[in-house]
Amino acid sequence: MRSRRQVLLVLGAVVLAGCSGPAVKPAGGGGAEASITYAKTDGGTTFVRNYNVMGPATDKAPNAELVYEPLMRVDYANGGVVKPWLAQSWAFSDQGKLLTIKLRTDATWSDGKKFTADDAVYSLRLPIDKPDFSIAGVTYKSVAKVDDSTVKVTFPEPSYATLNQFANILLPMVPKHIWSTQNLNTWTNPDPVGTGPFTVKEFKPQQITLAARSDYWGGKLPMTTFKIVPTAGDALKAQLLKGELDWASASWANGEKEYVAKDPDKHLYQLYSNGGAMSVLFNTAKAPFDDVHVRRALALTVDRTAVVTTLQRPGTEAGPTGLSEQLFSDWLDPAYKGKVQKVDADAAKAELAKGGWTVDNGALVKDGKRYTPSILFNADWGWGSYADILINSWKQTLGLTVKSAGQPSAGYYDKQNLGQFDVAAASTGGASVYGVYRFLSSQYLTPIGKSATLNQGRWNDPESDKLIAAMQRTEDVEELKALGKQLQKIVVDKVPFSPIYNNFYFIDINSTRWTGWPTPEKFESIPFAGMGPDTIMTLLKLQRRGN
Amino acid sequence: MVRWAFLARRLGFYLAAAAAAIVLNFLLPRLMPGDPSSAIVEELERVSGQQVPAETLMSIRAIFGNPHANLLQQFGDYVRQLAHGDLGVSVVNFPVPVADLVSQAMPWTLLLVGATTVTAFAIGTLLGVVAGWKAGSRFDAILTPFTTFLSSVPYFWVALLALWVFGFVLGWTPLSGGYDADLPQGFTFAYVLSVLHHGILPAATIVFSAFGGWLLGMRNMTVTTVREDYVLLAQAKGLSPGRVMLRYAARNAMLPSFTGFAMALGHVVGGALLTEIVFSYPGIGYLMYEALQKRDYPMMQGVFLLITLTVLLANLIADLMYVLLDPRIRARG
Amino acid sequence: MLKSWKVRFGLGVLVFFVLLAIIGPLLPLDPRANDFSAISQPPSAKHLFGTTQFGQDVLAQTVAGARGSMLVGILAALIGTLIAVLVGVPAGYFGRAVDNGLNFLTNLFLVMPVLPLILIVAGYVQGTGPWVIALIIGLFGWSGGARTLRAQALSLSSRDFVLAMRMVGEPHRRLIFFEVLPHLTGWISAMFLHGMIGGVMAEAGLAFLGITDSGSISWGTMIQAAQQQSAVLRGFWWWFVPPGLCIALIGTAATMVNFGVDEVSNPKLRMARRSVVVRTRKVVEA
Repeated sequence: MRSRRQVLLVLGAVVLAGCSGPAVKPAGGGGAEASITYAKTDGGTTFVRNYNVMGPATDKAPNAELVYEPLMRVDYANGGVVKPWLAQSWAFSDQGKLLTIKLRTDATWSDGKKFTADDAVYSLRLPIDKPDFSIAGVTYKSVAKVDDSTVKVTFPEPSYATLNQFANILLPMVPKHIWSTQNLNTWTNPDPVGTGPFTVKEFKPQQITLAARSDYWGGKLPMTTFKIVPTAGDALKAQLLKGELDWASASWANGEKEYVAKDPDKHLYQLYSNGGAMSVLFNTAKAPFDDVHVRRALALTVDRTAVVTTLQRPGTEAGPTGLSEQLFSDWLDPAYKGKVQKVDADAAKAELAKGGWTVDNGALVKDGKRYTPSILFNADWGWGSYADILINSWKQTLGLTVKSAGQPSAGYYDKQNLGQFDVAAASTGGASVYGVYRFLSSQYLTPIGKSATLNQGRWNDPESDKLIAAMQRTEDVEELKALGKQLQKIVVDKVPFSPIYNNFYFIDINSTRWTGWPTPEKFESIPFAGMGPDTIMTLLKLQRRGN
Repeated sequence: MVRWAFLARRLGFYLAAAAAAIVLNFLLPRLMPGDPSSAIVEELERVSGQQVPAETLMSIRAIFGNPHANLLQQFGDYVRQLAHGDLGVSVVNFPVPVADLVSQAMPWTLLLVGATTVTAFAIGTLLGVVAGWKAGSRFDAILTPFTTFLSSVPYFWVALLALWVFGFVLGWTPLSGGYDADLPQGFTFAYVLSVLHHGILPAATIVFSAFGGWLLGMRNMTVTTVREDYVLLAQAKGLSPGRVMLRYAARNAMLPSFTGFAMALGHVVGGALLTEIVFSYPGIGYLMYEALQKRDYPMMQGVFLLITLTVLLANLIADLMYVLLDPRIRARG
Repeated sequence: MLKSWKVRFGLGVLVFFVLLAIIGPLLPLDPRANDFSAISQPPSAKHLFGTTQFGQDVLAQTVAGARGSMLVGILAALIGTLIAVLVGVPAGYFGRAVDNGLNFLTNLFLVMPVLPLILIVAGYVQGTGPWVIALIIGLFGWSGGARTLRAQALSLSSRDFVLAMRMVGEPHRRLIFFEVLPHLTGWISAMFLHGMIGGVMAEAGLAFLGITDSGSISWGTMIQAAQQQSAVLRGFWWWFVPPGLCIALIGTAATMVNFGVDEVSNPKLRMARRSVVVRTRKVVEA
């Protein structure tokens, strides 16, 4: 018996040691140091000091966009229009094939040197000169310096619509005087020098501390340090509730009740539309989904309300166009505003009948051919239960049996790109109407079995092509709106895909230490860390509570 | 001499096993579909939404090796790299070398797993000896079935519940991480204390799930040993029961457990990955899990090779100890 | 053997779950049906075990999970045990070169870190179905059993009756199947049970890591789904407790049966049974 008692004693001592350990410190610290703590939820348990921001790595040091800035930004408060950032202004010429960009003259690198056209030319050329560094997917052909603060970019075709590639944080401005002296294939850039408001002060695998610059071109930040910590899932929620964190971007099912309601004044849970939707994507190169009647029938019997109910995001059912009303209200055809397709079994059956289809023993039948489709979804998103809801609904309304075909991320994208699916649950969306719909162009069309990067549904429609091409060739807003409405009609009538629920940027904030956050009702920038300039704009406007 | 022959034979085995591990490690990703370069290209295409040109694939292959080159030549290159301690370059963290990532994560896993495996082994073995010594007693009759139940509960399930109770409801332990990141790293009292504070719950859950197995094995061995002649003789000589229990019965009953212990190290180094995921602990298991999810083949290989070699080394050390412990090998040696 | 309460309890539980797995699909329970009027509801008369975030019946899922988990467990155990017999018995029986080769193989698999290996292989083939998962678990989980069988076959093959029959010229195949194997039934059945718990636990672990066949329901996928929806944090105990408890129950049951098997093959262990000890003490005291 003695041994057991000893064991218990040891255990007891260990537990006590645990309890008397350092008490949980509130983030932010006190006194002179004004710090804000952001929780990164999708980067594993540790960070890797890799600021080689142009390299092909998919995991880099987080929030590098607070150090390296792009030329432009996308204004989500304003229909996804491109706005200036390090670029002061720009103009297209030569029918949209030549872009002249005027740069800011007041931006400096954190080592004191001025940001000039040489840097911009070097940065923009990197993806062209080094194909393995071509991660941003740039479409321009060449870049040249005009004067110290002006560069010109040439495109092979009219490119008004792809201006937002310069707002991509994967295409940041980097200092030529440092980068050009390094072997970029081995260099991890441990101490990054950028134009952004922060420099790296301390890098630990479990916490990155960025220090605010005093000479940032955009103004003085209210905080001295920005801390980034890795966390995930339940731990994140608990840490937010306890006030150990100031800020995170993660969805929180029933967040209203479980987080906001516990302290409505300080606990903020915000949803900002990202312009897109989770949709049912049809493989239109494959029977039976090459038939519009089948697509319509399935789209008519998706129980969107049930899905958002279980998502615990009531009221976020997507409209039929795939364009979110929060972001695109000026662009949306009034006929589709506020419209959500309810389950309509009779209309769906009528559609099937119109196409000559019958359902027999769970299978779609026409001309003696039987089809039992399956639905592809990403199992890593935990989407299986939502797929079940769609499957049950199709079973109940049409008698159709759809098989569940979940795949982990890698397999999911493989199958989608190769066209090896019948219907897939896929994200659709983009920063502009053109961005949302461009994947429907047949210029991205590949046959089944050959990898497609955009047009996974293999949509091939001359009318869509014409409209998309027209959008690429103009920057006239009114014309773009008109073209956009015609595309909306195609999407609604011909159903290349059918939106289920709107997608969002999810923001969790504990405003115990910092106030002045944007709200979804009134915002200039989305407080989604990772959106580059938007993060910086958000940070610049914060105030310490009580000060 | 027997002792040396035994050790030489074991050493030979471990060398052969290490060689087999290297070959396996080389072959596994090559037998499976996909290669790192195409994985990167796919990821790039997904991120950028653009078709990646052929030149990009070529230049990426220059970095990560061409999967269509001669297999023998690839193996030669692989072994040459290994000989220089080069585990290749991580794909998702390009251009960070795998060796850097692994050496950053390894100490945490070794610390956590090493400490808990020893503790679980010690607790389980001790309780097992007592249960076996007093086999059929009330202590045995209650403890043994109860332990059976404990060791059958899925580990991650226990860990999740423990995290909820101690981390969230009671707030005794931190919710994630391996140390207090606000403290300067080093052998200061506060830092070491923060490491202990963060490690206590993950460690406790591992011990909780693992000690039962040792207890059950040890109990049965003790029951068998207790009735051996030499134990009966020791008792007849009038030696104190405690001395007989520990010096005679337990010592011999422990031998099979001990071999099992060495093997358990192997399972636990890999198994720590569930712990690391639940507690967001910065270790090697999580590194491998991530490598797997993101198809980072060089990283996967590097981590697996290191785990295997660590386990082989642990087994070798266990064999050395075995020689010291087993009176039969000692007597003849 | 059936005299022991442990064995009776263990067998009872195992039989219960096997029956549940077999008749599960016949029961009027649909694990995938959504009841949107009852989302994340605690146990009630309508849903005895409560409902999930998706309005799915936890009882129905637990029953379906029995089928999924047991299928993987039993398949994995079958494969593992078969390999263990095929490798262990010839190694012990033939000795010499055969033994050297097979024993090296066994030892190799013993010291290889199995979980990472399963994880890597399963990672490549994931999304393919429960059979593949079971195959992988079985393929990497036989070494311990093979070692035990080798030792037993080794001692059997040097027993007088085997030696005598060998001299008479009985073929090896006959000897192995009709003389050696029957003596190993106890060990093999223990190994099978052990393999089955191992399979169920491994499947749950893989499912927790997201490596699973999303089309099938198992206790592992139930826990994973609950975890994804923060069931623990939100206090939905009825969602994650049943699958965990079922795994623990099956594990306990199998270990209990193995106790009985051990006691049969090792008389000294039988002496240590509480009933025997109590009876002996009574006799001594009387």
